[in-house]
Amino acid sequence: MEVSKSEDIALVVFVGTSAFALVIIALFLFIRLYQTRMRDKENQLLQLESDSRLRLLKSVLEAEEKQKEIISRNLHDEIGAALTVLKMNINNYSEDLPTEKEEELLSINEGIDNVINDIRAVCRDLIPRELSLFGINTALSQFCATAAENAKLNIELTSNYNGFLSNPTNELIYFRLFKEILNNIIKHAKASKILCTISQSDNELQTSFQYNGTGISNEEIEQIKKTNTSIGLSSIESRLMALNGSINYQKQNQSEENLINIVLHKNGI
Amino acid sequence: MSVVKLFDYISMASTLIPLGALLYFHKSLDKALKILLSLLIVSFCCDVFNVLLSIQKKNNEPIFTTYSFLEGSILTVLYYSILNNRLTKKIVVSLFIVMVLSSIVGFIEIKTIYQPNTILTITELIILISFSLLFFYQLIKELPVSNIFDYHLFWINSGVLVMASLSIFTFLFERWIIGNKALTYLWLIFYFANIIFRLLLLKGIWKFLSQKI
Repeated sequence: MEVSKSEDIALVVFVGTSAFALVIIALFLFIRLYQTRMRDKENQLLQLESDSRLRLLKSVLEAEEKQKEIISRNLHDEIGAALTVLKMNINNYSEDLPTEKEEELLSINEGIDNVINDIRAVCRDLIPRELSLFGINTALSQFCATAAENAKLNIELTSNYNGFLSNPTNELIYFRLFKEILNNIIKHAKASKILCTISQSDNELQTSFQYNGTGISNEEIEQIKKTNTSIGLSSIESRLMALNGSINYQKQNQSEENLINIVLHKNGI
Repeated sequence: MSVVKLFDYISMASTLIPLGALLYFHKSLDKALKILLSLLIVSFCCDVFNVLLSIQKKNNEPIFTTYSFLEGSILTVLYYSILNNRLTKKIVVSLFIVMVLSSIVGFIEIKTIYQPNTILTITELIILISFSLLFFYQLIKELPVSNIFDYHLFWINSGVLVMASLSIFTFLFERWIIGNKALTYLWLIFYFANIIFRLLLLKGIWKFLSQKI
């Protein structure tokens, strides 16, 4: 009787454990499947969100460029033309004036010339015509030459760029990014020599700025971002995001080893 | 008191905690939990009748059969309300009709209410497993929450699956494998399944209330 009872208990334990184990395994498999699918779904959502953010950013940048183009055209065609007409009228008027008044008019003329030149400079800054006319290499070379002349320092540019950015909008975004970084180096690093290298490969476009003077590190950039809302830095960041790029700052004070390196990846462009 | 009897009482008592929780917070409950409350009330009443009948040494089979039928019906309403898809709702209704028919067939076969209606019990458990699997399928398809452990219906559905699977395993084992040989200890699995069911219900209720209140 005792043997039979212990056999019964063993049987019940065996049957119960097997049945329970089967159900638990089924539940475990369900939970694993659920979590895997949920992870996939979340990744897809993140990807969609990042894609739509990128599209939005690009549209904002495009709209900004269009606005700049309109302002530039209006300045050039309306105000520039009006000032030229004004200058011509003054010249005609000066013929009938006595000589002492002529000198005053001459200085007014010079003032108008300065305003016209300033307007042209603003227009060039708003829409870099050389970019659409001669391409990015020439536009960057011209910009570097002008910047070197104005800041009185040595800027060298080496580039093997050959159509990596695939469309004019991306090239314009890149051009502005390059300008912003170079301007920042000129403004803050007190450098006497800057070497810019653009190197294109199949999958990426690398742009490095090697310069002497005061460098800046990634940590310092993060600190600046936290403490103040720098427009220049946020503009660099948004342009980099639009081009699926990354930036790295390396600091080696008072040597030529300070480096800012930008990498743009093909798959995001 | 034998171990089997002890487990029987624990199984009955395990209804009280989820029932008490649902009654206490009855105003904050969602539709599914209100249906579950009705199931627990039915379960509690049947347990009380069972105890009373066993004290009077009367046959309590009609209570078992009635409980099986009511449990199947209430859980049909529960799954009908928590399944979203029109097709799965149709499946739920069809399975309920199958259960009603099986109870009639079972009754015709045994011709009395004082013997266990095995056909009804087994059909009901198979149907409950089907409901549970349908709900799991819906969860996998729709992924309603990021963390499945935070979803109260997951725990309730798991409870139904564990209870129905273990119970049907016990019934089938008793009836077809050991051939109706009286094996009292086999009921331990049934009581254990019931206790697990109530615990998982409690976990589901707790998850719901902790998010709601």
